[in-house]
Amino acid sequence: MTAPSLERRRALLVMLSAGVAPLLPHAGMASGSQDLASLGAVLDIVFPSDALCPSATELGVDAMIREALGPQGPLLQLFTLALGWMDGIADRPFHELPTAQRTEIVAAMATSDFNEIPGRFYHIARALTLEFAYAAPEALGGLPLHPAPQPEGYAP
Amino acid sequence: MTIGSGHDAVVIGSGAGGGAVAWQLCQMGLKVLVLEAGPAFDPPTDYPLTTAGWERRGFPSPPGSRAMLRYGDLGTLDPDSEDLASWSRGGFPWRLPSGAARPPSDAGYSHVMGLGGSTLHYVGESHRLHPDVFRRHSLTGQGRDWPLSYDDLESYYSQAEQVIGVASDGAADGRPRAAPYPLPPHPLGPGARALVAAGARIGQRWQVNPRAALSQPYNDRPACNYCGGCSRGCPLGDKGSTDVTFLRQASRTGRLSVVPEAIVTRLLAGPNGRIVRADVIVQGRAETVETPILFLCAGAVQTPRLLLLSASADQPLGLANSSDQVGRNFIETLAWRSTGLVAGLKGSHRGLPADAICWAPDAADPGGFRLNHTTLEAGLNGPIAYANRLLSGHGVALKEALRNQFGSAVSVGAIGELVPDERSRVTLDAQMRDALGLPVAQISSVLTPAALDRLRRMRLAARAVLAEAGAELVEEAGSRDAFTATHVFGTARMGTDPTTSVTDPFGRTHDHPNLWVADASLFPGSGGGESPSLTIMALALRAAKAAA
Ligand SMILES: Cc1cc2nc3c(=O)[nH]c(=O)nc-3n(C[C@H](O)[C@H](O)[C@H](O)COP(=O)(O)OP(=O)(O)OC[C@H]3O[C@@H](n4cnc5c(N)ncnc54)[C@H](O)[C@@H]3O)c2cc1C
Ligand code: SF4
Repeated sequence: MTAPSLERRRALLVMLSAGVAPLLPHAGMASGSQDLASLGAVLDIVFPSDALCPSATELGVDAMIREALGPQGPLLQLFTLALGWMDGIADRPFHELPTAQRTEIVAAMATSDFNEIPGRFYHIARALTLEFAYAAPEALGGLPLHPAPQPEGYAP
Repeated sequence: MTIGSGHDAVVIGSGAGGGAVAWQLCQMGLKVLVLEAGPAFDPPTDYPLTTAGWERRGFPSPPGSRAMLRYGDLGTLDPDSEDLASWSRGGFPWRLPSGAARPPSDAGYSHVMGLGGSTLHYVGESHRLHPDVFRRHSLTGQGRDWPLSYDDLESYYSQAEQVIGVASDGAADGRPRAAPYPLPPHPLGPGARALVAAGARIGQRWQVNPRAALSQPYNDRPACNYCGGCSRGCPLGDKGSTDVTFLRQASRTGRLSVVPEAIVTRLLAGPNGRIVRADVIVQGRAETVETPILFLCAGAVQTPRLLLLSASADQPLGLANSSDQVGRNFIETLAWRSTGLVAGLKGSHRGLPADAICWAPDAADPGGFRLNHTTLEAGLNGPIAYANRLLSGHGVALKEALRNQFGSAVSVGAIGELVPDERSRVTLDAQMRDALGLPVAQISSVLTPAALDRLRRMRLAARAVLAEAGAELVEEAGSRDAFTATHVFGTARMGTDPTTSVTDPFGRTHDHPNLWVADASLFPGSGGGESPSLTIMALALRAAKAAA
């Protein structure tokens, strides 16, 4: 069997995003960079820095995800809706909350229903973050890996 | 440049079958024209394994390197087979509901159009069919007999192994050989060693898998350095794809002309049944080509399509189709994969993909399926796949888990015999047209209850060896809930009876004396999970010798 192609996974993500966007009344209305202000803060909870490896935003993952979301479409819609929802949970937007509170919110989203916006956003944002972050050689600290399999290879 | 005449034989397609046919015809002194629909690739620059971010990139897909296709009836996701649904610890907690149509996977019919065909992204397992495969129906009442025997193919198997460079140890596997493998075996990687040890304790005999990857320099090619990415394209050129083996050697005879980006759109039969010409679009320009001898090697989906596209008033069902068997009997790949994390194991990302095999894991289903070590083919040699598929959670805990567990995944793959359902076939799609305005191939493929039962046996055997190795299961995937086909067969099958087969036992079509088929379409059955390319090559070498 072949491994799932990462390039083609975007189609799956779009399909999954489309499946849930109609659940919220304002689907399709929100767009633009303002609405994604908390994106980096979420990604850094999913992929924080540690002694061996930078965080998602330090690796530029937030910019890559913005690009992957494109100017319109269900994926952008899902992200806009979810981040809007997260910004409305407390008295301040998500990215201004203390780390402990942000961590708590993302942990709750991780266990929430995949058929609801927060759960689906969590899984899709996590998948994209890990895909972009671990594509960077700087993220390989502590792993027995070269930046690319060639030219050294991995003799048995 | 005009390509229309001056050759003795035309070969359509340059994959496993076409490459081997071209080589044999050139060796026998014929001038050969190969028409290949796809582009030529440059291994060192086109393949993704040399640069960071490699894990996000599969085999390259420039325009014209994949055929447009449509999927027809792929069956439904029956609630009775819900137990066979794919899952993974780190993946999305979502699946199609029972009752939904079985979809094609991302890969669907996984193929490459290019100089070298699908061997460009094949892994390079190089298997001979077991002698019993050729008598499958006589021996078991299942499937079909082949119209030839293992002995008829033995010398051609050897020839193909020599040309592509197969490495193995020659340990007994029930497939008698007159000559040793041309290359010594590769050392097994840590994952394979774990399976060999665990298998020995439960009666599964794991052994070295014959591989078209060079264990030492051979002909003009370097040895493999175990980058693990065979299905992303081998940047060293040591893997035995036909571009760097059969075609390269054939071109040295001075008798081979290869035209990439040459799409054959129609074949024309003369009054005596001989094929007189092929219509070709060469890099956008229409040409016609004389066809003194014509080998059709476009693979088990495009070969029937081209025969059907060539229908005329005299041949309303298409060429070579007086039996009405062209496109029927389509066989997909019945596959399963179980993956586990083995505590304490290190370095399972090292070594050669598919380095070990177990031929007969289930005494109650002899010849039904085989297992292999498939960790690297499953993509578990990079951090993205680990984090996204095998591990759950997020944050520092996830990053630490990855560092601790990377290199401990072991995947066991299983591929089994599949007897096609009546509905499984390739037809011309009634609506969708390709860029040239021609109907695309439509693939229908439905798994039978017997196939699903075999999938369960495959799963049982894969789980058994993983459990014995101490693995904790983290991911499983199989054919039940998506159509993925790396090995496809049966759509122009060979036989002795012209009413039930398309070609004779050599691959010459019953209806057209100068039209031969030499690709996976010929297979009357799938075999017991053996990878097919070596058999496609052996059949092609034999057919070309007969035709020359
Ligand atoms: C991921 C993956 C791994 C695999 N691993 C293995 C393995 O380890 N071992 C193994 O034995 N097999 C393996 N296979 C299967 C193997 O690649 C195929 O079975 C084999 O290449 C089929 O050979 P073929 O000659 O039938 O067709 P192909 O190799 O597909 O060649 C057909 C060629 O015909 C050309 N063509 C089609 N239509 C036209 C047209 N109209 N005009 C001109 N040219 C045309 C195509 O462009 C293509 O180049 C693997 C396949 C995949 C996808
Ligand atoms: S593992 Fe060996 S054969 Fe496979 S792509 Fe790498 S160098 Fe080539």
